[in-house]
Amino acid sequence: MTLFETTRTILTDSHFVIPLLVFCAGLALLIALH
Amino acid sequence: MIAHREILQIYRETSEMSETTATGVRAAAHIGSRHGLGVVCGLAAGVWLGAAEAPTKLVNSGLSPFAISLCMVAGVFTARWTVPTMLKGSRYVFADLAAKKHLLITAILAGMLWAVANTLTVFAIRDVGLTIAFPLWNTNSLVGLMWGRLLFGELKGASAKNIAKVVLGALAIVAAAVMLGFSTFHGNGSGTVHAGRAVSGILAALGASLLWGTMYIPYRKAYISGMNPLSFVTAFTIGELGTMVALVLALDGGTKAAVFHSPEAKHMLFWLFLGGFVWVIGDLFQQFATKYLGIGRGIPLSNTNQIWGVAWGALVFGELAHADLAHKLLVVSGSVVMILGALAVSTAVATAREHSSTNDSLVRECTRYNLDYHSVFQAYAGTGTRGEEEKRGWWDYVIVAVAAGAFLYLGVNARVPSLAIDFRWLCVLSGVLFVTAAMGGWALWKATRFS
Repeated sequence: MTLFETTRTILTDSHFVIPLLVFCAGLALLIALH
Repeated sequence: MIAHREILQIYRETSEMSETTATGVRAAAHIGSRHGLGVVCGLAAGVWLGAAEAPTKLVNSGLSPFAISLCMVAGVFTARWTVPTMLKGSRYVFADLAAKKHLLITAILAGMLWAVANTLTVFAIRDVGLTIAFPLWNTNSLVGLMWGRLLFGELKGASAKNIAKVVLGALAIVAAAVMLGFSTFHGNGSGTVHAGRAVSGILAALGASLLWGTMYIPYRKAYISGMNPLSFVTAFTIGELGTMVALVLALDGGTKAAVFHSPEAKHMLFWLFLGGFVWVIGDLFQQFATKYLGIGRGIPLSNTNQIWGVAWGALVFGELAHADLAHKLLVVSGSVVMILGALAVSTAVATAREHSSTNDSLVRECTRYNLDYHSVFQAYAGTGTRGEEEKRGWWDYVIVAVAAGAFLYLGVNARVPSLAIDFRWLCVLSGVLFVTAAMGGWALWKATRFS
């Protein structure tokens, strides 16, 4: 797989996207609480 | 090896299925033979993760929780290059990481989730106190159970009895952890709710639960892709350390943060590093439990750490010496509920149909990322062939010597605080740690050579 294909596959994989979104939400919450 | 009787049973069950499903079941049947190993790893993880907090009790520094977390995570990172390096040389680990490059970012993300979740608990305690915050973030194993079912098909095709055992067992362990946690809370602010901040505190605790529970997605994904837990932990600790450094720089005073300048920190680092060392061994057992049992069974079992945390606090540090009857009853009843919960989860042995859905997850990963199914399956089942890269290089010994040297240097400069310690119980519980590690390590080596 090329780098582009791998990147696209990762970014459309729920196993990666869900943890990434949860991380972003957690970081936003942390900044808001600080 | 699977016993002939089990194989016959599997073939009897698969004869009633479609050919595709049956192939999956036969392939995944080997995974089932790892149930006992997974249970041993899960329970060993509980023992070690519960003990990880003990050395940090010797730190009375006035350092911020961010700084303490950063030092402990630095200890975790350093400790990863001690004993674990000797289990599989760095050549093997880097070859494994290079073969599954797409998982690097996922493992780093898992470390980042851990660091943010851990920091959120600080805010939760500040705003609503431990009494409210602790039960909320302890539900993380239930979040993991949900992701395991939704994303990896765990418990899919399981018998109603097994589903009940896993779900009720996990609930019992969460309830017991809360009871045991309450037994150690005293009036010193543990139940303080700051007016106007209750909502933000509850959000922080729920956020920590969600982040920790979601962190198990990368764990499971790595193993159904054939990654070795030692490789995963390597990338995980980088994500953890990088995020903690960033959080201290952003939220705890930047480069002027006390942790970087306080002369006192040097004398306490050893205890935090020691906590990190114990944590990384516990985490490795947890990783192997997740690999061989899945999230739904592995995480609740390793969350029995609360019982060992209370044992260290009560027996070694005398934390329950002045506890009233209600607190002592909480300890006894919490321990009983936790043991029953662990018993329920550990006896829920997956059937052939459940193994089939595990195999479907493996096939999904192989198709999606163009991985070789047979090598992924062998790695997942812990039966992969041993290659040249497993041999340790001379640099591995240098890495271990440098990491051990760091511990030695900090140990020489450590200051032992004047804290009442029961040395008899310290020896007993340290003995339990070593026996558990020896048994778990031997079982893993014998069955999988730490694969």
